[in-house]
Amino acid sequence: MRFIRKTNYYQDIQIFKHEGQTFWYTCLLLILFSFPFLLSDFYLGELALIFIYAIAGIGLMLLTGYTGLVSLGHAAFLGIGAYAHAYFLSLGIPFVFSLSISVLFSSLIGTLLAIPALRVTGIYLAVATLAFSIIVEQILSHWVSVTGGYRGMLVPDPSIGNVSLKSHTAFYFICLAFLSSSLLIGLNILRSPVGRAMTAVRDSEISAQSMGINLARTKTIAFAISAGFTGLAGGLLAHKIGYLAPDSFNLLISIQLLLMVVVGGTRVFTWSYLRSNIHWFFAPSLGFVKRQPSRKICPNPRIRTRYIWINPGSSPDL
Amino acid sequence: MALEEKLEHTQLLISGLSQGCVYGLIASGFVLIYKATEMVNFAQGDLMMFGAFLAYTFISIFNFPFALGLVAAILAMAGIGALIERFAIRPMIGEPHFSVLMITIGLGFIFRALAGFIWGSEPRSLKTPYAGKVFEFDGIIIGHENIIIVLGTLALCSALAFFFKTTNLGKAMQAASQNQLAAMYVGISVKKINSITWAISAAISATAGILIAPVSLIDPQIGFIGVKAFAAAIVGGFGSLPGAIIGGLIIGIGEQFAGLYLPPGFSEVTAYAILLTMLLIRPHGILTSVQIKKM
Amino acid sequence: MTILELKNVSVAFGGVKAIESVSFSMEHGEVLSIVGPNGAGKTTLFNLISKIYDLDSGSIIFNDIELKETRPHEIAKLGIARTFQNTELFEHESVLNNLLIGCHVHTGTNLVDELFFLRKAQDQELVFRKNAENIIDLLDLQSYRNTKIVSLPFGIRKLVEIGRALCLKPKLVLLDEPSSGLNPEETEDLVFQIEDIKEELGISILMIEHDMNLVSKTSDRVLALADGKVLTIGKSQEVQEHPQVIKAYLG
Repeated sequence: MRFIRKTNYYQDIQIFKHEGQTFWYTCLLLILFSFPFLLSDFYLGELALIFIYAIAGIGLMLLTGYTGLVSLGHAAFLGIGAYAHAYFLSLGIPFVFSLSISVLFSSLIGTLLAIPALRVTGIYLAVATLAFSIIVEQILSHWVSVTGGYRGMLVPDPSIGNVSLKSHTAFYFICLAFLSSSLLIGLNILRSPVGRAMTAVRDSEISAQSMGINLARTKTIAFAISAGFTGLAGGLLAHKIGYLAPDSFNLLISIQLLLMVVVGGTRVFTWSYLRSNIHWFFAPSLGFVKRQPSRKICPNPRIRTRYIWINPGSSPDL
Repeated sequence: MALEEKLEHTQLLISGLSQGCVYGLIASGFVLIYKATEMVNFAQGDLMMFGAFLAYTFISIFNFPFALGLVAAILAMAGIGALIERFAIRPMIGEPHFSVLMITIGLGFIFRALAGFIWGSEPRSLKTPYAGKVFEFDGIIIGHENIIIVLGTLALCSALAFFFKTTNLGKAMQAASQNQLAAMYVGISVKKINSITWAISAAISATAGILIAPVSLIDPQIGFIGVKAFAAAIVGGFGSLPGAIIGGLIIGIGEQFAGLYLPPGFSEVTAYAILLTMLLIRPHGILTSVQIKKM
Repeated sequence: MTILELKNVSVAFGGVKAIESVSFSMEHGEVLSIVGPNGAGKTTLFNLISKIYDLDSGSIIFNDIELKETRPHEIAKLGIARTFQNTELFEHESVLNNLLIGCHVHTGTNLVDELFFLRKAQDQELVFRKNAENIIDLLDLQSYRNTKIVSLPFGIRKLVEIGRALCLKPKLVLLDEPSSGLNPEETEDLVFQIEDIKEELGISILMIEHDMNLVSKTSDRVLALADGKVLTIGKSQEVQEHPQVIKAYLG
């Protein structure tokens, strides 16, 4: 066992608390940087996809793991982000702005969802979010002038200025950059009053209130931030899949996102993420249900069920 | 014109009623399990689907007489319900409700995959003695299958009411749903009660599946109406059986009329719009039986 | 100087009158204990002051502010902190984080500062941490700093909860049965800790307590409550000898 001698309180609010951590995370980053030179385009694409889902996972983790609000409808935000981004791009808005507006838009919808969601908890909340996502799916199917309805929608290629980011390597780095910044912001939230307020709301609403925490505000912020992250993931996902259809963002995806968070352990960032993502990555190859158009969509249900059986403590309390 | 409109409304009301009954039945399945075990079974809709397929197998493939096939399918589903309770749910007692929810979602996947594996994904139709026949009076056409659905629901509800009010087992189940520990102290076997609850709940779902089979064809995906039934259960107040039926009827009828008056696509979301509105106005449903925890 | 005043406070739950026309006031820096048999309405009184329940009639005045329209989370900002009978800590967090959540009312950063953890947020964290460390020293919680609440014994949890309330730097703290579940030794320590809170931090204490030994050692005055009504209020000795109090306890 090694002992870390702390000399000031400043050390405790750092993300890397000692040199060992800094060293290992730098190594990880170097490895991630070297992948484009080592791996084929196919695996780079898969890695980018993992990064995208990890961003969505951060969003859901903040809401479900840290604030204790279960959402069975997060695919809706993925869809909102993807469609908004594709739509703004098609209007000729540059990539960076379009993505930012999509994130804000997704956040706004998240804030609106918070209004009914504030009144209910537990299973009622799960179903309210589920209902919300089904409504969103229907809107995406029928708002033909914007979304193309069931015909779907082509996503313009990403570019900054005149530089195309279409290549697998460029897209990989973009996703990596967004994932790193999302993780950083996620960790910032957790070491700030807003993140602590979230955990307080999760563990005891009554006592959070007596500590001066505004429940409605905290939950609304949690919804907004969570929807923002998931919207960002949606925007990136739009480029990854290239072609949007309303049923790409259905209940199965919501459940999958939730499982990703739950299997990884709802209260831990970083490592468990990677673990849940690795699971996410390999599950399709173990699964027998492979007829879906995209094989990420349906990993083997048995594997998931077993995961939760083995490690029930990783689930949030309802 | 006015007459025609009236006819149309009556027609919609009737189909809404029968559709609502099916939602209500599945919703009762949810409510039964929730009341007894405080667990939410998300596979309820898939149990319905599986029940319908079993009935199809007995009647159309093994050529059982209709009534016999029906009873066999319902009994088989009751058995499957009890098995699920024994092997998937009982080991989870004491774990967070959320884990159980996830397990039932996983079970739903398994049932859907299993049904796809056994019966394939093409829609099948269940041969019934009454399918395709209609009553007609005053210009209103009512399919026999719709009447059977409503009658079947009524019969099942009365049977359940009778069971809970008069039989010892029913009373014991009610006691256990109020307070499991207290029920155990007075000598009620809570484990047995839970098995029976799951069996009854699965049997009700199977019945709903058999009732709906002549109206909509059976395929592995029909279990998804379980989500609407879930909305119905919440609209009705999650702890109440009559509430579940009422919620089902509201959603069933609401859907039909939304289809008439609103642009296409709206009838699909009616159930969820009703649910969200209900959560806004009356978060605990119409017939509330949930009590706010005193601190 | 009066810090808290209740005037004819009443509340009923579905016909049951839990609190009936209760009036009393407490002075700045005072330790006032509320005693009474189970079901007397003691905790209900706390929940009324912290606005978890709304009054049916009467008024509660804290530091010249009438708590009528105040929402539950604003009570803490006014300077009232509380603990709970069976502890309501943030169970999956460490002791330190619980104390830091206690500092929440002093948050001066906005969401942007926090999302990007700007200088302002960093400085604030350090201030919060020092504040929490002071409380840790005051209550001797050093060895539990990074322990999660779920793995702490009940006695320590009670103490952490008091610490969390103190992190708010309140003017008044409501302690709901601080000695319940403590062993005699811990109760003995509690006497000194309550004195420290009163003397060193200058915080007024309103406390529900059954242990008459602790009550008479710490309280300036004692209020006896039964069936939602005030029986008497006065010095500990007087209250214990009051015939109505004896009757209420012995039935």
